[in-house]
Amino acid sequence: MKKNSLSPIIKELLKNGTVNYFLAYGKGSFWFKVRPLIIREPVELKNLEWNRFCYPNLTTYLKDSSRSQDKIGVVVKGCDVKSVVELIKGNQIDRENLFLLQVPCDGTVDPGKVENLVWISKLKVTGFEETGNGLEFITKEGRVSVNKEEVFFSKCYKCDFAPSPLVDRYLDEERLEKNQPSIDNPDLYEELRIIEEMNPEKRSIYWEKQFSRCIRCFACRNVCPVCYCPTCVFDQKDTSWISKGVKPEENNIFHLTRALHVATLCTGCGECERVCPMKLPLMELNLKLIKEVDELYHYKAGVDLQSISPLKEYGKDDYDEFK
Amino acid sequence: MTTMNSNNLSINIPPLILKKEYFQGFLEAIKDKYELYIPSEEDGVTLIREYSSGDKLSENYFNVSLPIRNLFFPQEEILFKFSLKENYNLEEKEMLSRERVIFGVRPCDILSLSLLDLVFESEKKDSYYLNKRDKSIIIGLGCVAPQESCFCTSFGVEPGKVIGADISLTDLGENYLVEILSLKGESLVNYCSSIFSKAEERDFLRGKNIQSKTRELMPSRLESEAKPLNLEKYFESPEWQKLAETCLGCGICTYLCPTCHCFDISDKRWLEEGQRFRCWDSCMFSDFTLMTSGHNPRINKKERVRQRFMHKLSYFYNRFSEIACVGCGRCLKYCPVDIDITRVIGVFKDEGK
Amino acid sequence: MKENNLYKNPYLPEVVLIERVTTETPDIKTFRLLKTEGSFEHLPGQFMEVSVFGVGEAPISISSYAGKAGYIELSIKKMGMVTSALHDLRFGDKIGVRGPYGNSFHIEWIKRKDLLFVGGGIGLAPLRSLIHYIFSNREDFGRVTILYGARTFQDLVFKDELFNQWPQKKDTQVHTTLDMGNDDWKGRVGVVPKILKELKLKPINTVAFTCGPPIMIKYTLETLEELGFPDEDIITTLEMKMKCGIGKCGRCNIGDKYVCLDGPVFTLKELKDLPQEF
Repeated sequence: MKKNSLSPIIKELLKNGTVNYFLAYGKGSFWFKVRPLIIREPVELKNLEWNRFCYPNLTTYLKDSSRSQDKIGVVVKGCDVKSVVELIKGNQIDRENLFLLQVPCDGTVDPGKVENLVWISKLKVTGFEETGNGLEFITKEGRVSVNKEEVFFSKCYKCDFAPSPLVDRYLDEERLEKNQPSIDNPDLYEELRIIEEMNPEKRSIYWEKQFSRCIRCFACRNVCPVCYCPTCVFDQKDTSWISKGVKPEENNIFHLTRALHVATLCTGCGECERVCPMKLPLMELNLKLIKEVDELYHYKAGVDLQSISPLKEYGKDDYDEFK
Repeated sequence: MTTMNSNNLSINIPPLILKKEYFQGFLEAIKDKYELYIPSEEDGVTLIREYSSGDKLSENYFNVSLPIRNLFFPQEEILFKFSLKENYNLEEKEMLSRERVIFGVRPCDILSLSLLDLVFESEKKDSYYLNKRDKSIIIGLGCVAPQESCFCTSFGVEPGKVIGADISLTDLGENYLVEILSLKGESLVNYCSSIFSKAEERDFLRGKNIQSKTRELMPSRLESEAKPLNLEKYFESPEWQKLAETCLGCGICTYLCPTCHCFDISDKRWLEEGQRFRCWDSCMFSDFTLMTSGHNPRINKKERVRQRFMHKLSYFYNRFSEIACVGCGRCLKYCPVDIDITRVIGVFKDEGK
Repeated sequence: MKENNLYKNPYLPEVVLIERVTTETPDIKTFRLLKTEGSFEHLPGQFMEVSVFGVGEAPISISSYAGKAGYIELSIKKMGMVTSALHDLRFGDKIGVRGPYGNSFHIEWIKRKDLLFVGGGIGLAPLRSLIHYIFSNREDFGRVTILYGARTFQDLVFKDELFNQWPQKKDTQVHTTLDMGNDDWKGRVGVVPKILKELKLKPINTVAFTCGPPIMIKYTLETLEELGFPDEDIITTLEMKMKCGIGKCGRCNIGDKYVCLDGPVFTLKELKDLPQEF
């Protein structure tokens, strides 16, 4: 298994001092969960995990380390590398202090979808096995297989993985071939179609209804790898853009501001939506902004270190609606 | 380990049957007299929401995402209004006068109310919370399929069996077995008695059977009954740092917890009037203990994570002789980085109190 | 269960009149509030939740003890939003108060004992309620020593009492010190713990009370221990982020103690038994 080949590499990198610690995945509380694992000592490698539930984007922990001199290793998937690109471009981390170890990934499983399947079919699942086409649940009554279309995160069907020169080491170079988009020519903005067809009034009602569920736990903000302001605008002591309550109008301000603040930085990793306990469709907001930026400026976050965010530079050819 | 309603004396009604075909009629009948809340699903999220005619009970729900405390201690609640003119004319928020029925509360969440009662009934009584408690009739619904994250049995809860509510419902498939647990429950059943039929001995036995089957389905997250932990002596343990280092510092664990009760009080003002409100707050937020002077006794994540667990497992016990956890599993299920309270209990479990 | 409206609303403040505002220092004012008939009685050491409507509520220790006289005083340093708004108020304005809350200094236990007060800056305010109590029941207590310090002369609070009233009381000594002296200042110069050391007080039958900025408290506690005061005879009052004042909101805990219920007055012995997280 892949985790068995991951372990000796991390062990070696720790031993020869290339890194001080490694951000990786560990065994979670349930069979469908993993837990971010910070490995400082080789003994901690016994908890190492790599499977299709390794959806968390570990690069968010690089935000915290931006002021330390530690050399950090990170287990990354193709999509996670994009966040690293933005963190480097935003001067949040020092490329020299980073070791990126990329594992081949052909899609991650949405635990929410798995839970629903399990619940509806009243299965008592004790574990799972990965198959080429998805997963097999192991139950007392036998094995039940599910297709990846049923359980993968939707972003995984649209994976546009391309090898990145930032990566220090690929775990399995031959397998890189398999890191191809799951669907040929996917519609990247499929989720937006319904909302874009709404008239402004309907759209406003739609979002107000969604935002009204927000409990202001700030998980969407905290988990985001590119939400890296040392003091968030909503945490400033002497201003009160929003109160601590959950007034609907303030929820609107919070979510729209959050989305706008990460525009041109958001790489679409989907962590904000994944962690939301109230299932707000936050990626619909982010995707819309990604789409607008793409169409107006032909810019995509996380692609390379050279291109500059259109919000950070002025060009004569910039879109100008006042012309 | 529970301090439940003390009015469950002299209930004379034997167990009843509510046929599912009459269920919607049952809800409609309640709605005519009471405010009614039921678990319903919208946009994929099941919450306890106010019932309006035709709403359906959420079919696929293990438990509601937000704990039941929201109905007694809302996330945001106006305490009083005032005018900004000379005498301020403080205007107390009106208390509930009409009774309300909350349908479909799970056994773990019912237990959580008895823990919140300890806080809000102690010393100076919290009129806002107690008024809502007084005016609520709770219909508990036993679980039939516990989740991977459930561990209520470690806190003395029988997941299939409702105690501490006013009425207990057990899902028998095509029917509900209805047991009346309090005088309030009796009054509700009397109000719409024609909807029920008498339960036969075999219905009753079937209910017991389902309840014990549910228990068998419980995952064994904690090996046994959770005991109060003498965590104070582990205050300086390096385990806290290990637990905290992946914490994102969000409020999910505390806001979804049925026993968390921390809040903040603030004012909001307009030109000539204003209101004072309270809202949930979270010890996981860095500004929770930030003082005006700039001093913050819990400046790091380690201290905040430690506070959350110590409060639940140790401090609350020292004050009220109960552990402030009911094993609902929400914190563990929803934590984005899988910080697991049962792991904490496991790490320190060797030392009982 | 019980009937509607049976519970008194514990969050509803009483609206009271500001009878007098005394400017103590550039950033500290003392507000004398008129009690209405039948309203709160307090003990030395307790605090009130003070409301400026539209701005918010803050816990403030009561800095006076006037027995049956119909007022209380709050000495308030301008720090945050509520205290700044309070500083904009004048006599004749009205504010809201709830309380009194918290435990109090243990009067019975200190009767017939000698008493040492060590205060710094605004920290003299909570001690002053006990000093007032002692002077209005002077026969019940032994000798009183008051050591008080501030940064500069203009930062000293309660100047009239410090220099004119308290030194006249029977068996009472008042020592005032400044961190920074100047040519006009004839008194002591030096930080409070240093002067405390120089006073060479004996701990026999003496209880020490201290309150002030955290750094002063830290060194004062150390000095008192060096002087031989046992931990149970060293008493301080704490500032923690209290909000509701009635043990519900969960903000002011130190370990399993709530400052608003079990405090704000603690002995050093009690503090040492608590997690060091305050």
